[in-house]
Amino acid sequence: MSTEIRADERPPKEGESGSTGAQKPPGRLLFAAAVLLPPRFTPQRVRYDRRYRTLDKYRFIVGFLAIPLAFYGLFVISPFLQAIYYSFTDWSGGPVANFIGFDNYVKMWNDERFWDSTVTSVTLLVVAPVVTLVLGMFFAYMITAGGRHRKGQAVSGVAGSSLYKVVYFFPQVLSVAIIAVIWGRVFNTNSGLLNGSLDLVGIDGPAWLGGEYSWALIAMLTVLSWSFVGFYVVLFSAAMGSIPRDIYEAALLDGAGRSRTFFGVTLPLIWDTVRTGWIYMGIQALDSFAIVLVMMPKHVLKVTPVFLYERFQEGQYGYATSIGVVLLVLSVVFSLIIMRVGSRDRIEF
Amino acid sequence: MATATATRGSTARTPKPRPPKKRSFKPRTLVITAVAWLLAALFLAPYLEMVVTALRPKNELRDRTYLPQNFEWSNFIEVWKESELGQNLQVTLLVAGGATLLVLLVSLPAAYYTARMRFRGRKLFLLLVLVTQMFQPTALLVGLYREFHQLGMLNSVWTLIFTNAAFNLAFAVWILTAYISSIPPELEEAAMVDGASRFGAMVKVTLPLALPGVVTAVIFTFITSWNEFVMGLTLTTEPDKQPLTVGINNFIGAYTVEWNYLFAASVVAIVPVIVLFAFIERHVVSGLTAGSVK
Repeated sequence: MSTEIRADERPPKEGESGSTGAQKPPGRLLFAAAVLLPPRFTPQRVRYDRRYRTLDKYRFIVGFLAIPLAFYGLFVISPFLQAIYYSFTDWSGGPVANFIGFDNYVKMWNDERFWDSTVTSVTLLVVAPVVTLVLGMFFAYMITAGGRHRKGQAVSGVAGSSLYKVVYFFPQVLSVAIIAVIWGRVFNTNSGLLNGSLDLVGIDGPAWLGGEYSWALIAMLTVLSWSFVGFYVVLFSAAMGSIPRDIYEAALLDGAGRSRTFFGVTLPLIWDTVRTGWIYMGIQALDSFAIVLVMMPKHVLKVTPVFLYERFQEGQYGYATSIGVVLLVLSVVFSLIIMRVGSRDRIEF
Repeated sequence: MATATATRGSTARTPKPRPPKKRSFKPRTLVITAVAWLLAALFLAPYLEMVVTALRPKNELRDRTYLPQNFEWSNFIEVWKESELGQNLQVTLLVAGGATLLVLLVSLPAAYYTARMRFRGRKLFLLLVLVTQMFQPTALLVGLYREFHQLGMLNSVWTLIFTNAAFNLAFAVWILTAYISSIPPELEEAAMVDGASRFGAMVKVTLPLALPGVVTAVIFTFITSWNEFVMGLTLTTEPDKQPLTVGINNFIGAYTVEWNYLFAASVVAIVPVIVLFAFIERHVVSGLTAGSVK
């Protein structure tokens, strides 16, 4: 690519670009060469040929789209297809992978550990998006329309709204591994920030991550919401910001209060964005691998990706891939459900 | 904050003589502001805890005080000397930098093409980009492990560069397509009438205009590659070949956790992200949501 830029700036050389050749149409070989040559170095009789336009177009496609697609194919699509293939084998790292049909899936069906981890995953998949989106919408609404009614404006945000956005958004740029580490400390039973603070008001905090499943689940939901809500605040405030002011003014004139305005005006108008966010958040909740792996003690709570990872570490690659396939199916099913449930007539404004 | 709002409200430009409206603190506004600040504080508390713990001396790690009695700055020096933090940092820098460069080189032409041309399969291409975003990295883990195992590239920096680039490609293409689509093609056509080649028009006209989008895509790729965990965990096994996020977890032992070192290392890992984030914070809203809203 870089040579092409340089070639563009250099004056054309006489020998290469001169149209001194015979008048007969250029041969295939010249066209093959023209694929690689920048236009200025291409002989004019080739460039003036009708076929050169088609070639130019396809060269564009090859150069601009084929590389990303190849890259994508190699590192995203191919592992995905391999995962499907190896889920039907007993591959365990060696050269031999026997085709065993649905045995892995049958094994999974009978594996209690799989069900335990998947129940947790599905719980997170259902609850985490609802909690996060409601919080995100509340914050976003506060930021864009929660402020006092100023003169001449039907709606206005709370003061310092951009600061809040940054504060909420920041976990989004942290590594999940670090988020897990930080919260592991916050939830620490003895020396954690949370139990320390509860101590001050005289409450003996529970062992968040060390004991009961329900506390661990609450901790998980807290961490997930904390780390993802910022994205939705930004997303929803952008969506709310694109709603024309006069609609709010009309609602205000009709005597609608804040909550009425929200449910009657804002929510229906940003519904498409909410639905997209819902799907996205669900997938993120389903994939809460690093947080659970780093933060949770192994015996308390597991999610499906962690269960997969443990099988991977044991070298049961075939079994691990079949769990991966189930995970993918789960996320697709979830997306389809939300698409169906959440579909309503699009409101244009 | 409440007072600031109130004063600003009361000095509203009202030239007409009106009965002076008494501007008192509305309890509602006050409550909303207080709640907003409290929530913000709750959101910030974990970071403070991290920094404070990074500075705690060993014997105060189990204390329930908010602040330690002594601040132990040497934690940072010790963690640097005692662990593989230096190598981990180097790996992460190489991986994040390499992946970002690769993503830029690959995604920019693709995005340009998708934005400018109406070709057969354009929708399919964009859909493919979007759908593959849904793949959980853990689901692809075994396939990727197998590929790199066969290539003999486990523990290599290139492995992580390639996987990170591939994972971020979709987002970069998506965001850049949205950005370039918003630049009128007439500008390019004008340049081409004036004698620029198609490529020259792209480089000299469209690219400078798309720069905010490019910056956003670049920094986002850098940050996500910097933060990547799953692939680093599975595709590298030697401690000095692991990226920072994975290396940090080596402080979590089976029975004890060296909290002070763990957090000192975490602070080291976070600082570049904070700096970069401060840089693009402005673009986040416009860039991130370009194409997704409406």
